[in-house]
Amino acid sequence: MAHIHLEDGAFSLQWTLVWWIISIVAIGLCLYWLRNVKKVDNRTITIAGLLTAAAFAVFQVNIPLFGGVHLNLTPLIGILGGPAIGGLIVLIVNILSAAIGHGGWGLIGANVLVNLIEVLTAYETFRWLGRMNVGTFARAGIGTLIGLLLGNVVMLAIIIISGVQGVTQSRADLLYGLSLLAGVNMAVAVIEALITGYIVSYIERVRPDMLDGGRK
Amino acid sequence: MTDNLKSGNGKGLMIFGLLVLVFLIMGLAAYTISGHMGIEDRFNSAVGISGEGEEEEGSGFLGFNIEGNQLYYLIIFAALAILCAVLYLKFKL
Repeated sequence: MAHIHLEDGAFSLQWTLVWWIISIVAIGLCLYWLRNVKKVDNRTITIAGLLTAAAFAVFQVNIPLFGGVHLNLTPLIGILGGPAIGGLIVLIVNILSAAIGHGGWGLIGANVLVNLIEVLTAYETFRWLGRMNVGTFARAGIGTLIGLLLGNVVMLAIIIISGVQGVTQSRADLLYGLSLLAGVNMAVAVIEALITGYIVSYIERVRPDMLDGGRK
Repeated sequence: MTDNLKSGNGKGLMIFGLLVLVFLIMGLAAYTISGHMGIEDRFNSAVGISGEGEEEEGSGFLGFNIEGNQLYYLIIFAALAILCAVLYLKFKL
C-alpha cells in the first residue's frame, strides 16, 4: 500500500494546503456524485461502515515483513464500495489514523489523494476485466496490483513535487530513494492482492449482490 | 459461454500470475538494495532524513504491533464496531 509516512512539517505549508485543497475538491465530487447521481441506500451505508472499520483496524497493524509494512485495503474498499463511497472511507480512515498518531494531520490531504487513486483504479480495473469475462479472483487481484502501483506512482509524484523540508537531497536522489521504497511496497501489494482476491471471491460465492460496487 | 468464461478466467489468472512475479522480483530487488528496516526508517532513508532509530522491532505479538497510541486505537475500533453492529441490526445487508 502507499501512504506518505512522514511527520507534519515535512512538506511546506503551501504544498500541504495545495494537497488539502485538491483532496477537498475530490471529496466534494464524491459527495456530489452520491447526492445527485448514485443515491445512497441503507445497505450501502452498512457496507461503508464495515469497510471503514476493517480498513482502520488493518491499517494500524505493523506487519513484521521486510522490516515492517502495512496493508490498507483500499482496493477492497473500491471494489466493494465504489469510488464515491471509497473516497469518503479513505478520508475517515486517514483522519482516524492521524488521531491515534499514525501519520501527520497535515499530510491527510496528500494521503487521501494517494488512497483515492488506489480506490478508483482498483474499481475501474475490476469492472473493466469483468466485461472481459475474467474470473473474480483474478480481476480483484489484478485490480489491487494496478491500483497499488498507481497509488505508489502518485505518492512518488506528490513527494517529488512538494519536496521535503530540511533535506538537501537532489530530486534525482529523492526519486531513487522513493523508487526503492515503492519497490518494497510492490512486494507487499502482492500479499494485499491475494487477500483481496480471496475476500472478493468468497463474497461473490456467498453474497453476489454485495458486489454491486464493482458491477460488470 | 462456459468455455468463454473458462478461457477468460485462465487468461486472467495467467496475467495475474505474471504481475505477481514481476512485482515480487521488483520488491525483492528493492528490499535487497535498501536493506532491512522499519517502515518509518525506510521512509526517512528514502527522502534523506536522518533516522532517530525510534522504531522497535520484535515487540508486540509475534512481531505484529499497532502504530500510534494503542489505547486510542482500541477506543476508536470499539466505537466503529458498535456503529457497524447498530447499522447491521437496523438496515441489514
